[in-house]
Amino acid sequence: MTTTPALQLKSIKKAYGAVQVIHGIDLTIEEGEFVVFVGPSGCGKSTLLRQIAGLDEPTSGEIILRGRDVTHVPAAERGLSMVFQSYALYPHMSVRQNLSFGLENLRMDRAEIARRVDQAAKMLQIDTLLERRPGQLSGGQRQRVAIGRAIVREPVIFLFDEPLSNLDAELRLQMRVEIAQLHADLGNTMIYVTHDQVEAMTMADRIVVLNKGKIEQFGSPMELYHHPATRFVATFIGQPNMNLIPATVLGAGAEGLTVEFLGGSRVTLPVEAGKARAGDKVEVGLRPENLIVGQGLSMHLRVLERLGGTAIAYGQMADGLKLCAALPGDTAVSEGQTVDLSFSPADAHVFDAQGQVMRRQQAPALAA
Amino acid sequence: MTLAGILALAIAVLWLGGGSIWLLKNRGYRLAQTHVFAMDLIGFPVEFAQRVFGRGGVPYALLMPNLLIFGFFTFLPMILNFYVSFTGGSSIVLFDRPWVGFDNYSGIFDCETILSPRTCANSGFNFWTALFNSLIFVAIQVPILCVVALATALVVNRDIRGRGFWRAMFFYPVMLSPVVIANIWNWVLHRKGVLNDTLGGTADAITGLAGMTGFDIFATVLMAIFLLITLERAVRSSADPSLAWTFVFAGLIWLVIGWANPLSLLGMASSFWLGLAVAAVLVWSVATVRPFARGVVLAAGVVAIALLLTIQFDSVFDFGGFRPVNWLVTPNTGWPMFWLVFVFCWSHMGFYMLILLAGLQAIPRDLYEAAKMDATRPARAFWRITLPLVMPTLIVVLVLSLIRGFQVFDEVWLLTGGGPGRETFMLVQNIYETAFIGQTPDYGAAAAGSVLMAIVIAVFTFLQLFLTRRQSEL
Amino acid sequence: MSAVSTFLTRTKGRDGQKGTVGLQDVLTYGYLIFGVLVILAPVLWTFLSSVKPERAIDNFDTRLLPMAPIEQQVEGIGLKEVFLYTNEAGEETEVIKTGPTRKLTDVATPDQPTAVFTVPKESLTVAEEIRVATENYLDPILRRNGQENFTFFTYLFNSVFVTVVATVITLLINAMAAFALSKYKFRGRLTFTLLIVATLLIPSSIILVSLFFVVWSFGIFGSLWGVIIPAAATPTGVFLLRQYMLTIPDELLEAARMDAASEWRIFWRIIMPLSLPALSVLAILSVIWRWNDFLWPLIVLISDPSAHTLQIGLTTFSGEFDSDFHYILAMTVVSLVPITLVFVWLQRFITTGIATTGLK
Ligand SMILES: Nc1ncnc2c1ncn2[C@@H]1O[C@H](COP(=O)(O)OP(=O)(O)OP(=O)(O)O)[C@@H](O)[C@H]1O
Ligand SMILES: [Mg+2]
Repeated sequence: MTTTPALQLKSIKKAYGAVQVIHGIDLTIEEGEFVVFVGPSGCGKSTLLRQIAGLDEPTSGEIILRGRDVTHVPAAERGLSMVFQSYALYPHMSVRQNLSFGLENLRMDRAEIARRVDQAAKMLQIDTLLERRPGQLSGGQRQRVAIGRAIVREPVIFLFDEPLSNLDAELRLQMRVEIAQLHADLGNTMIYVTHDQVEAMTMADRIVVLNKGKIEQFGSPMELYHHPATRFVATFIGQPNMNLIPATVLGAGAEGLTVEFLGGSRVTLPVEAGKARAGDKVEVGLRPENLIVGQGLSMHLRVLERLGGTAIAYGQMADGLKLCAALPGDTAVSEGQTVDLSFSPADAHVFDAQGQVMRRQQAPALAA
Repeated sequence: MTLAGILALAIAVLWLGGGSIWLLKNRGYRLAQTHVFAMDLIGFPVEFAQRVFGRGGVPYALLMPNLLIFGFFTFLPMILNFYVSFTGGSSIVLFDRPWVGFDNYSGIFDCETILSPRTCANSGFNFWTALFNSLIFVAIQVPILCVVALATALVVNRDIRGRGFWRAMFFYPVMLSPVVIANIWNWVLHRKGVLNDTLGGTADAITGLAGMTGFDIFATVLMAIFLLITLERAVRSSADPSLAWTFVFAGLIWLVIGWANPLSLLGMASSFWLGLAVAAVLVWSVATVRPFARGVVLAAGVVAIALLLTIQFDSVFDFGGFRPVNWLVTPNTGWPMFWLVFVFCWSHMGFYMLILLAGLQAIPRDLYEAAKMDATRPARAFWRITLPLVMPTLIVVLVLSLIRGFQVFDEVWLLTGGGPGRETFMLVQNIYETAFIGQTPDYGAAAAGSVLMAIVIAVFTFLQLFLTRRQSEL
Repeated sequence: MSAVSTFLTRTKGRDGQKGTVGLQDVLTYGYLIFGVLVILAPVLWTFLSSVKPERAIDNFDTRLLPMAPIEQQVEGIGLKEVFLYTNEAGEETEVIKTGPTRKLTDVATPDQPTAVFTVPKESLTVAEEIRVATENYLDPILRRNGQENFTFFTYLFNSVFVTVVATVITLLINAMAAFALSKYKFRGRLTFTLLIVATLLIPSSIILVSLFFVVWSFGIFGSLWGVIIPAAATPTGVFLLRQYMLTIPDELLEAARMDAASEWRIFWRIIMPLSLPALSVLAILSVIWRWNDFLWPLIVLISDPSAHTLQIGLTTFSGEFDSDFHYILAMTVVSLVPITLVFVWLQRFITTGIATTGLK
């Protein structure tokens, strides 16, 4: 059985004057999904979201909403709603008026408006604040009102543009849970923009990683974590960041690719060689949590952060390369020491000179 | 039916009729939403533009009314003005006006020497007289207005009691209409009015005092005490002289020089200007913290004491019988022009004061605090921080008041009517009288005068902007 | 009392030395008091004069209070002016003159007008009382005692009509233009902005003659619309509002678009309420401009007395009755009262508003 996807983007491009901001995006979002757009600042997340919302028109490409081409339909008629980074609450209207303004524009029945406003207010626990102005609310309350304004429209898709970035850490955590809860309750499709990868990892059903106006990878959080498609995604997802160690290809064999690090140590990694030839430069990506104490890489320990369960060790290899490892919390090392680290070849990611990942072998080890 | 009538009717039918139908067809309104409907109806052209052209059409619809009015009532007249200035006759139907080429202009330039309007033909006489009077008016009024406005803005920007009240008071005359202002000042300045009465009373009282025996010696001693106290205060601190006290001291010196009249020895009439110049030098040298300021102040003190001994106070204060002056009517006294400048400044100063106040308030406080940390003296802070930073605003004020000054009409027309003779006859009055007063209105000549006046204003504005370009770039 | 003393001994600022009054403070307050005197004295003097009886005005009586000679009904003679007679002993009696004024004048007491006696002229002074001459105001306003020409209520209506209608139109269309110029990107935005800058630089008095032609051919010459419409679009207003609207975040507009509001609704429900501070400054400026407007109404409206505004009406009135100063002064006060009331009511707002909302 095939259902119509909630939203399809077909080779969306957007240029402001001569500056190309979005370089052709294809994306299909299923009904009821929570999709997060994540990427560094300026990569075009907001721009893409605004195309979807209808606040801007793409230079080329198609936007298909539940099977209907809405590329040139104005925002008002798409039936979406959006929560803005700065909330964009109408400062001269009370909370109730803020919530009902959109419904009045649709010439909805007054009783129906009141019903929806009250329902949303109760759901978000702002029913005691309805007569206040936005200026008289706390940051978290404003956030709720902004979400409430989106809810009362009963939209096809919710759009969020970094809605939590103006909140302090604690409140951000709380609202994150609430939005996730909201998604569970309403079951609507939601598109959520953020540049905080923790938010992305915790909330998303699927994540779109954007970089420089292109999609780097689209997949579930765990897919992105375990199988990053590019060097960019690999470093972007995961905390602390993945270590990238330059290496040179020595040759490819049945067990995989043999590489040599700058220090001279060699290792064979279970990835498909593809077009790699001996002498090619590659980078070996190792997540800090995959590094263990043992023989292999030796690191001069500079800073040790003991977090309790884990201890994050920052240091340098002999050639000056920075390295970070997440060790068990009670590991007996101290700053200034030299620590020897090793890793399991199966945990290593290998990226070619273009930053593309080299596919893992369908290793027998996995089957075992 | 007039053009406007047809236009208005067409617009009304299209807008109200068409709009109602369109709105009611496209959107449902309930009875309770009548106000929403009314609002939508006002904006019907905008709504319509959005429906037809999308969001891109909206700004044009929004701009339309303003541009129509600008177009018809500002730009069209601008261009028409040139056309009218090349036509003659007194018809108000544009197409009935005969083309006369440069006649109107040559009429204005028909002079033996332009610098002496009497040698011109009639329209030339009027124009050049008006121009010279306007130039005099502007040359006196603009600097005075700017200095007074800046001084007032500085004072009301200080940390004083009842700031709002003082600011409001200085702004009050701006609210008054020219007719009210003219009637008020006509009444005050009447030959038998309150001003003459007060002046007369004061003069008589002082003359009476001066006639008393011992007045001379008493006044000399009093004046000497004043001089010494202020001098001592001015130079008391071991650092630079105090500006405020120097101000008072300079005022006293001005009086002393004026009364002692040292220039009379050289056969010159009055030492008023000499006194003013000396006072200005004193204030300037202290305000700009010159190294020689102290010496200058002390020297001025010595000179003042010497001059003081030569003053015959009983004759200085003997005004004789006071003769009431007919301020606005007496020719060849300069009083009518003086009072026009005065009344103009009186009524417009508040507006410029507020603009300058905004400029002063835009200067960040921390600049002054930083200056205080650097032990900058207030006078120096004024010259090096306040003045440069308020300069862009001051230039706006200069340009505005220059343009306004050239356009002065209401106060002149109502107070002096251009008289006595043609002493206060200025540019706009010339245009107004040529075009709208008298049996045969000469629109052509008036339009030519307007074009020339526009050129004069443009030249002066650009000159001013050019001369101050360095400061305004700040 | 303590407020007065703290006021008088106040020092130059929070950081000045306590307890002494610096010369700077003396100069500052001296300047302020002098300035306010120069501003208020003529206005107050006009007000005080306007309630003086005609005779006091004609004699240029410069006393502050409105003094009028006492008149008394004397039996058999009629209304007579009362004099005060001071005899050698210094006693005062009220008398009336029964004959012409000579060196020795015939007088009598009002009770016994027939008991004539003779006193020296110098010992007689006019008996006066304070009387507020309401007739100065009431005669022209109620159009009695031959004062038919000053149709006050017509003028007032015309002035109010011009001011209110012109201000409403100005606010609406200037806000529309400012909205377009500040919140939309469109082809020609720079051109339009520059055009409006250009109008800012065209002084109205140099297009007087040709504006007259335009207004004439539109057929609105001589009507109030001829005063209202040409001045409705003000470049100052467009700029002031544009500058203010630039500070309204675009996200608000986008939120409203997501809320399915049409552009006109956004203007009306979001932009206008949020621009209220700038709108009220423009409203005040527009009221001042239109209420005090003189030259252009003089040209357009002079031929039709029923279309005169208060300013034009007052001018022609002053011209006609060059000597009837008591009426002129009263009517001057009448026409300065509305704007003064507006001023007193809004003064704090006006000064801070104009000073803070730009005009830079
Ligand atoms: N109106 C515009 N005109 C020109 N360039 C624009 C415009 N809007 C955005 N850009 C550019 O497009 C790029 C993408 O902007 P966008 O706002 O989508 O970034 P973002 O991913 O949302 O970043 P952030 O996380 O900081 O919000 C930026 O380089 C920005 O400078
Ligand atoms: Mg963004």
